[in-house]
Formats: sequence, structure tokens, C-alpha cells
Amino acid sequence: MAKLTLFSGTKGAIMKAIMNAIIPRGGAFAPGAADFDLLPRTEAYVGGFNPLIRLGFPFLLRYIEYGALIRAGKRFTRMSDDEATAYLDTFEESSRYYRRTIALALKMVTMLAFYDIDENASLIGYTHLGHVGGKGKGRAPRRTRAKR
Amino acid sequence: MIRQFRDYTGSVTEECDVCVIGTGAGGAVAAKELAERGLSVVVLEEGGYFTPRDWDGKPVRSLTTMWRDGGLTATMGNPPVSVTLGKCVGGTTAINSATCFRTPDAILRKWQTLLGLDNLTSETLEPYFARVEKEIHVTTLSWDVLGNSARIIKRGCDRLGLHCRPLRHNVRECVGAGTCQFGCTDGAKQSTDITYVPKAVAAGARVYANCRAEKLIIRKGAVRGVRAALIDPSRDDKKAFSMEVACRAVVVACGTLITPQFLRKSGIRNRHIGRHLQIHPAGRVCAIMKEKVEGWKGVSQGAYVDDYHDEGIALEGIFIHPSMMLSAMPGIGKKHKELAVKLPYIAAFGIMIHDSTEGRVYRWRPSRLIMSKYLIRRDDMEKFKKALAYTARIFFAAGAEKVFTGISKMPWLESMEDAEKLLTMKVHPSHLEILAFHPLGTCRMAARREDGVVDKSGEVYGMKNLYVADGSVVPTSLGVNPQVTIMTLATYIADGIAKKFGR
Repeated sequence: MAKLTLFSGTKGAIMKAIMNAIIPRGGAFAPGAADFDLLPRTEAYVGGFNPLIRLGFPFLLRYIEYGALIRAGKRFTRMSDDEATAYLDTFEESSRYYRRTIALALKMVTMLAFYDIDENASLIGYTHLGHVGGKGKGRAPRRTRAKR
Repeated sequence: MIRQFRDYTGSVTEECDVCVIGTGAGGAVAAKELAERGLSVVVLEEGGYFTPRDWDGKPVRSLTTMWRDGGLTATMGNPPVSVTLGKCVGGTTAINSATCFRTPDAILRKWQTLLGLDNLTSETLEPYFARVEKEIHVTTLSWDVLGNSARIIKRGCDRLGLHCRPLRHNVRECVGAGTCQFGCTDGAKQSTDITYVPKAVAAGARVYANCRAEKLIIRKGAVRGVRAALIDPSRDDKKAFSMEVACRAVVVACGTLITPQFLRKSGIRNRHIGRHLQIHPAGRVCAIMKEKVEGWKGVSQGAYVDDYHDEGIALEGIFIHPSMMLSAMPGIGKKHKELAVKLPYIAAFGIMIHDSTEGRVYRWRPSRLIMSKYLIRRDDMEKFKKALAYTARIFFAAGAEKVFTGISKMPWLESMEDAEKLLTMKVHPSHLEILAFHPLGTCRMAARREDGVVDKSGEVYGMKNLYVADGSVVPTSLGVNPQVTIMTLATYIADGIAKKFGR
């Protein structure tokens, strides 16, 4: 298993709880974020952010964790999946732009990791590299590539 | 020869006629044109070099390697606007939707009136447009490759008496893999990494990828070279070695949001540097249809509707990977899953505003974060809202069950009446989710020094042999996708430089 730095320890636990709330088990298709080890993919993606934004990510996670304690009386990681989903729902439905943006950012990070797995994308009918009529070459013609 | 970080073993010094910074729509074009005219050219590119073999067309790999800051570049304002920028050999052309438009005549006339650019007429630019379109192979694709979202919009337009036309694309043998923004896995998209850069290399240009230009070397009122850092992409682009290029001229083509910062850092002073930022605010409308759409089959941006051009509104197709599309649509938890399984029935189309708002790029260097401000004006916001409503109307005419607008106050529209209601609804900027793909204008070209940063030849006022040839010199927003305009201006500017050097 890849060693995590951004999502190690508590930060990883909060991120996992967020992902499990955004894509829980059950419902329209059975698997949820909890069925896959998504943290390495998430770390790969967040690792590509500008260092300054990346540094802010742990603060965002703590804001979710302890914000839940203040607003819902329970730390986020101690909530059930349904409670956690309902809590994140308040962000998405908020009239405040920054709260909606937080929901969007967390959904994006989660879904990028989850649907990056072909098996999960196929659950929603998506077939990667659609190619009209399945005619894809899958690679560039050699003549067009520069000498390296 | 394209060198990358793995090829660097120590500091590098280079000598050449022209040093070009950037390999996007501006830099790659200038480099190829100058190298083919017999000038010795060195090209510096901050991003890495990838071929279609290196990417899988999925967002995660592409966002982390080809997009600047993982796609999180944004302007500050009401609301913040996410701006897509490429950071790789090919620049943003490697991650755009391959849509091609010539500069509209009305815009060229506006530049003449506003800024005295009588050199940029449709007649004078005609050979340059033709040259660019030939190089990048601009073509019209058949409707089956343009995707089902485009066909649905066409059906809606036909019913409403509007006009939906196929967009023109810079592609060759495109079979619609649908991954234009995450690297064309077929190598069909004729981005500059596939077209101009290899030709520049063939003509003798030396390309340094993973090389960040740090500062211009200026002596006695003229530019003499560039100081750069050879950067390690695995260590947050930290400087590993130094590079110095001694040259007779420099073409800066870092992109609209970075060129102003680079010029200021190098000591160039002009009150217009960083100002007049226009971005073509854009949004997305998604419709749940009764029929199967499978919108990912086909090019991601297939067709356009130009009936609202006079209102400053363009409607253009857009379909992206489900992870990004679904995250922008409502629903968390099981609600998200219910929507996600409807993906094959979701059609999407984009909107784009010909903006009058002007923003600004700031000089702010910590961590190389791009700082810019864009406070959308009321008239642009109205256009934005109208564009969403018009698109919803077309979708309903085509038979949509429900339409998602992205306006937080009224995210779902259930009927044509709702679309009409949206037209009269009062909307605040913070209700909108705005994206942008075409930053322009921050080092604009003008006939007089009082009006712009570069003169009619692209040379920076007050600094000999320093040229700018990217989106930042485009004086105003265009109302259409700008890559052909940027490439054409870069060809024009390179032509002038070559003539100046007697080639």
C-alpha cells in the first residue's frame, strides 16, 4: 500500500468519512466509497494542487470534523453514514457560496477518485473512451510525434 | 530535441537568436515560424512533455500532470471563477476542446476603433489565418462524431426555429473518444504538441520542458536573455538546476494569467500590464432526457448555436467525464447515486458570455499562486442567466424531462414555463457557478503606448526586442474560442520578428 502523507492518520480518517458520506454503500448501486482504497488516488490528485492550496486542505478537513460537533453535536467521523450525508447536504443546500463551494470541492475530490476506477464508472453506464462506433486507435500515429 | 527533467544533469547555458517562453497557442507557433525562417531558437516550457501514450484520457492523471494546479486556478471575485490552464508542452491547446473560430470581423473593427490596430484587418490577417488552419488541420466533423448532445440541441433548435451548426475542430481522423480535455488518447487533436512543436524541433529549435523562466536579463533598455530554473516535477516543481539563455530577442508566451506577473517581476513597467482581463464566463446546462444519450460518445464540444450572438451569448456543446459532471450536479449520498445511474440519459450543453467585465492579474508571488480578480458586472450576469434559460428552452423543445442550470436559487427546471420564469428571475452573482476557459487581454496590443503594453508588432513598449505572443495580447474578449486568434497573432508577430532579423 502506498504511504500516505497528506491523508495519514486523523486526516485520512476524516477524508474517508467524507467520501463514505458522499458515496455510501447501497442505494441505486451497491458499492460505496468504503469498498475501495480511494485515499492513494485522492492523495495523488490533491498532491497536484498548488502547495499553498494543498496546505489548506487539512484545515478544511478539520472544519468539517469540528464544524459537525458545533452544528450537529457530534464529530463528523463519529456520525453514521446517514447523519454524515445529511450534514454534508446542509453545505450543498446552503445559501452561502463558500459552503456550497466546500461541498463541490469535496464531491469533486471524492468522485474523481471513485469514478476513476472503470468498474465504478461502468456502474453508472459510462464506458471510458466512447469512440463513435468503437473505432479508436488508442494511440497517436507515429509520424506526428516529436523526437524525445 | 525535447529535453525533460530526467535529461538534466546540471546547470545549462544556451545561446540563440530568439528565446521563446511557452509552448501553447502562442509560443509553439512563434517558435516554429522563427525556426523555419532560419533563426536559432530555444524554447522554455514550465510543464512536462507527454505523448498520447502517456495519458489515459481520465481526469486524475491529466489534472495532476497537464493542468496547472490540478485545475484549481481561479479568479477572486463574486463568485470566484475557475479558469482552466494547461501546463505541459502544448499548453492549454493540449487540454482544450479543439474548437476553432477565426476572429470575428466586428471584433477586428472594434480593435481598430478602440486601439488603433489598423494593421489587424480581415484582409491583412487572411494569409495568417489560412496558414494556421492548415497547420492545425481545421476541419468540420460529421454529426455522428459530434455526439448525441449536439444532435439533441439541433433537434430543439429546429423546433424553435434556431440554428445549430457543427463546430470546426483542429483534428485529424477524429473518432470521438470524448476525452479532449484530458489528453486525446488517439493523438487526433492537432494541439501544438502534435503540430507546431515537432515542426519547430525539426527546424532546429531546442525545447526545454520542466524549465520555468524566472526573469528577463535586461541591459541598456533591451532584453539580452532569460534566467530560468530547471524544475523537478516530482518535488513540487522545485528548482534543481539553473539555466541561462543569452539571446537577441525574447518572445514571452506564458499565457494570459502568467505573462503579466513575469513581465512585472522582470521590471517591466506599464499601467496596462495585468489589467483588462476578460475570460468569457462559461457555464453548463444538463438535461435529463427520455432517450439514451451517452453524451461521452463523440467529441466533447460538438456544435454551437449563434442566434444569440448579438446579445453577447454563445451556446456551445460540452460533455466531460462523469466524475466532474456529477460533482457539479446536486446530490450527496443516495441522492447522488440515484442521479448518477441516469448518466446515460443526461445531455449537456455549454454557455459562454462575450464579457464586458474587466478583471486584473496581481503581482503576488508566494508559492507561484496566480492571483487575479474578476468581479462580474451586472450586464454580464444578466447575459449569463439568459444563456442558461435559452439553453434550457432548447432542451425542453427537444423533449427534456428536467433541466439542471447550476443556479443555486433554481437548480432544476421542470418545464418550458420554468425556463421562462428563470428569464425574469432576479439572480445574484453568488447564485451562479461560473467557469472560464479563455483568459485574454492582460498585455493588450495597442497603437499607442498610453493604451496598451505591446505595439502593433507585438514588441513591448519601452523594451527593445521583447515580444509578447499569447492570449494576453488579444485586446478584448472575442465571443468565440480564441485559439485560432492567438495562433494567428503569434504567426503575425513571428513574421515581424523574422523580417526584423533579415529573414
